[in-house]
Amino acid sequence: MKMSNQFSDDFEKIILNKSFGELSADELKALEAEGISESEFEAVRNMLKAMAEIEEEQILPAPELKNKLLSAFNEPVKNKGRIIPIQTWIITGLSAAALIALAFFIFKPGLDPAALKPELSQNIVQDSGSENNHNVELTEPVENTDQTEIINESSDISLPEVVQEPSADLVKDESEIVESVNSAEEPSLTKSEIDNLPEKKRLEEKAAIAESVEPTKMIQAENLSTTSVTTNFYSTPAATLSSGAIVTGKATTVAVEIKKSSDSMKDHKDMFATLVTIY
Amino acid sequence: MADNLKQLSDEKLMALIVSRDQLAFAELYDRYSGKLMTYFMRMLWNDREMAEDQVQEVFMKIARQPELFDLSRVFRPWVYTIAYNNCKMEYRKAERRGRPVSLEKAPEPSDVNAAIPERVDRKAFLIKLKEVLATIKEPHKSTFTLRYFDELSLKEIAEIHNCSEGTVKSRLFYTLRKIAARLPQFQNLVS
Repeated sequence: MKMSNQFSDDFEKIILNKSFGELSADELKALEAEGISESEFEAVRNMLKAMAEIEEEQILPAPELKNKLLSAFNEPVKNKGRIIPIQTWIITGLSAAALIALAFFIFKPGLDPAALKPELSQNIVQDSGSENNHNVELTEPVENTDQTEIINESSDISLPEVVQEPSADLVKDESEIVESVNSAEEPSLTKSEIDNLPEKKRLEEKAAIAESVEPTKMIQAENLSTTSVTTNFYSTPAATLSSGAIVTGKATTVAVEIKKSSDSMKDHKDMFATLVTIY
Repeated sequence: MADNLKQLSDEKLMALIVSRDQLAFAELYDRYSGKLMTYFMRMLWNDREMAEDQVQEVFMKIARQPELFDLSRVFRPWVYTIAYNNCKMEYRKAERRGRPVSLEKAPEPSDVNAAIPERVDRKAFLIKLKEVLATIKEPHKSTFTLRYFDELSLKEIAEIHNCSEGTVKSRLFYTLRKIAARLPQFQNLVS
């Protein structure tokens, strides 16, 4: 119920000091607006007067309560120390969880963006200014990719999960192969004839081009056997020539296939000899 | 020393309590324990044990954390605010247990309308008044109690209930009308 302001402000004073007949016109109007009749006004008035005369007997608590409280008061105040609010705990916990998740993602080798299947890495935009695909840029964070899908479909990708730097042994093997190929082939032409061969000139030109290109890209060979090792070589003129590189404009890619398990060194020699011949 | 404490205001006693003055605490307890006990009895279904527990809780708070009181403010509305909040917590607990907080929908007290002797006993009026008061909903009941039993000012009640003084007056008038309508046999109490 909302009383009119005038009556509300002084209702106790009015009720206690005036009978219904003594009310002013404004006060009567206010009462009428509230729907308070004379009898009701008198009833409330009597009630208010009775309330004013009431003397309630005070109820006291048990006497031992005072002693209990006094001894509690005398107890040394416990050093509360620095209480860390619950919000701080929540924030700390969430931050730690986020860091763990981030670390897990970063250090999980299977989620290397370079090893993503082409259809899963549609958001990778190649640098349009270069013909090679060396410089890539992610249009959306790698975190947004569906990790489950990547893991499940990784078997379809021919690339091995772990990309290795060329080991010293491997480099040694390759150089041995190259040397053996070179030594196996007896020159059937004189030096001047060799120098005048158009094929050699072409190779030298391409080697010069390749030399001018910065080594950036790693290309992995196709699986040839279950134990094949994929090696990433930075393209260099030497590598280009010795391992049968394909030189195309600025882009230089080197594919090295080495079958260790079943093929002998002779197979390699034959393979490279064939490649050089074809070239 | 104790006599000196009796002359101090509640606020000054609280300042002494903050500095761990046990006598000041005892004096404050003497001043308010009865008032609060009666208040809790009225508010909490006349349950003595529950009222004592609440008194203990209020004074335990004062004993352990007196610094919570702002020494620049008035003590009485502050302590009644604690008391009222404790009552609200008890009401919530009671609701969860299925106990009605107010008896507004309960039947009228059996003998409210019984014939009253010409010389009405004021004690009987008080008993009936409390019975009817138990049927009044919050915050009207608390407002009425604080005003006419504990004799707090309208301003203090407004502070305790966190509302305007106009709202306090409105609630008081509403409750008075309701009680007067329920206790017509006591109309001749005041003559």
